[in-house]
Amino acid sequence: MIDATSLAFRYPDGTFTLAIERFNVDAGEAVAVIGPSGCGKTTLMHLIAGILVSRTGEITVKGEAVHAMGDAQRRLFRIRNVGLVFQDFVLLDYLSVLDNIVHPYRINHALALDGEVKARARELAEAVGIGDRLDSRVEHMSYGEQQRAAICRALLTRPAVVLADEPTGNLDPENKQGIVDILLGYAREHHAALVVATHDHALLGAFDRVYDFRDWTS
Amino acid sequence: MIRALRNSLFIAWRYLAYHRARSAVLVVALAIIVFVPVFLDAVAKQSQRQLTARADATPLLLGAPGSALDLVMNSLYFTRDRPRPIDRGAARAIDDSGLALAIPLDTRHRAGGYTIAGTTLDYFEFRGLEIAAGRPLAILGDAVLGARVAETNGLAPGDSVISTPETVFDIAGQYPLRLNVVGVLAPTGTPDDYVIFVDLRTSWIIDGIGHGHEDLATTGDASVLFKRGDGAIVANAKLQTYTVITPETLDEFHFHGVDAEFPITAAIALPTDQRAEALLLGRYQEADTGLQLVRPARVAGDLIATIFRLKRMLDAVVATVAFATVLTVALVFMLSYRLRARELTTIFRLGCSRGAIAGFVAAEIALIAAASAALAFGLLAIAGSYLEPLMMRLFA
Repeated sequence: MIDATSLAFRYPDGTFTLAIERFNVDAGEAVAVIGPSGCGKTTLMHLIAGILVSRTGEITVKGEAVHAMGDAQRRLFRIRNVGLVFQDFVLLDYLSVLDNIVHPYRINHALALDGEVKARARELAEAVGIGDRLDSRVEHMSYGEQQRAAICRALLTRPAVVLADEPTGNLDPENKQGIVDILLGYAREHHAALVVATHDHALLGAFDRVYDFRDWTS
Repeated sequence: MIRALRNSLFIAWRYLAYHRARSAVLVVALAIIVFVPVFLDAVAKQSQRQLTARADATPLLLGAPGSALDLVMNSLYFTRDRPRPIDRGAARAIDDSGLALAIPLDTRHRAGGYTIAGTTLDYFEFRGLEIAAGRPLAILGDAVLGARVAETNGLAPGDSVISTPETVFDIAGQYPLRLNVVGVLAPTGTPDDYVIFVDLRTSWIIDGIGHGHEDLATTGDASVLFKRGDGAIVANAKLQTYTVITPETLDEFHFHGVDAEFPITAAIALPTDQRAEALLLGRYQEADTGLQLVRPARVAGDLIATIFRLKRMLDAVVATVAFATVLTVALVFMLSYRLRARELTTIFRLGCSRGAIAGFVAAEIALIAAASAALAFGLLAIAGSYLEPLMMRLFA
């Protein structure tokens, strides 16, 4: 599903360089990437999602060469195929929980928000245990509930690839395991590739494979 | 396209509603910037219309020397600044010249905040005033109300109004006179709507020049008499003067002195033709008559020119304030988007295009602008309905 070879990326200011010889994730596979802060976990996620573009090397997702796409193509590709989960959730305080979950359908003109999508959003929310909070404001929810809402937002488009960047970083141990279980459950059920960047070694046992980034950065 | 627009408006609306205090401040600030210049323009144009129409319809005005503007404003718009009075005889002299018809005006008295204008029936004909209810002035003590006076105070024929005492602290001063409302004028949209009209002689009674009391020659109460002799009877302070003119007391009202010397504040002169007008103007310019004869149109023209000079200055000030406000609003938006940088980065990562982000910004600006415009037009509609009374208060 995800196949990256000979990737090299350098930020314009030259402060950070990422070089990855080989990174691949199969459909339905759950992979954890570990490494210290600043080692490039987020950069890899952004390269896979097409937010950043590598100068050299190749990266294909679902058989499509992301590195060769133009800006608009990468954006459309991301909308249709990639679900992103962030450490700090980035939910919008001026929207209800339901509106946050369906937000990708409002900001992407390529997606159409209809009753079916809203029904799916409610099902997802029920599945992750926040079905009764859909009309609430984000600020009235716990961190665990907020991350569940953020995961619903990422999974609503039924992405083939889910990229979660430190999704449990702000959560207590009980919520951490719950969040990982939700992500793993989605990957298994939808045969999606799951990449989770984490510092938490206690969670690694749940993943099919673990990549350690310390060998790739210079 | 419509879906994109709907989504942009939805997100913008939710954001503005959530930050309602900030949104309200922006809306009010922009609404004021729209409202103020438009309203000032309306006020200036309404002033011009009212001043011009009234002044153009009044060929000449006779009054005491001094400020021609005060004379015109008081006599045409019934402002509170009273010009020095002149003798009734001055107006009669114009009549006698055969060059013009003179309509005397005495605007020195007030009742309930409204000017009492003492005049003759010629004034009603000259201004085209029509009685909407009741009858015209006929006898002493009658009052005909301007439409707004009647409407505002709920007065109708059969009611009465009392003149405001001019000498509250003078116990020997004239008592207020109760005026009998006998008619109400049809609305004209002019200062006449805000005036209580009485006969000139009634105005003099309010003044104390004319008064009414029981007949001293036939009175049975000797205690009111001070002395009697040489064909004259002098009353003492116990004698009560009437404060209302009724059919029973009407005959007891009388004037002391020669009416040619009684005061009026101005006389509207209606020349028979242009030649007569020129002759009259020449007479009062050349001779030391202790009077001035002015063309109201010219005086109003000078005032209008001053108003528009001031308006141009105000326009410049308003434009500067508007520019500063727009800059401030722009700054508020820029700071707002700087604060929302993380949100915008996130939605970009979620696949939102830069064009769509620009659409959200545009939608917010459009909603703020629409709300401001709606508020400004609402204010203008409300202010517009009060414009005429406001102008009257401005002049009065």
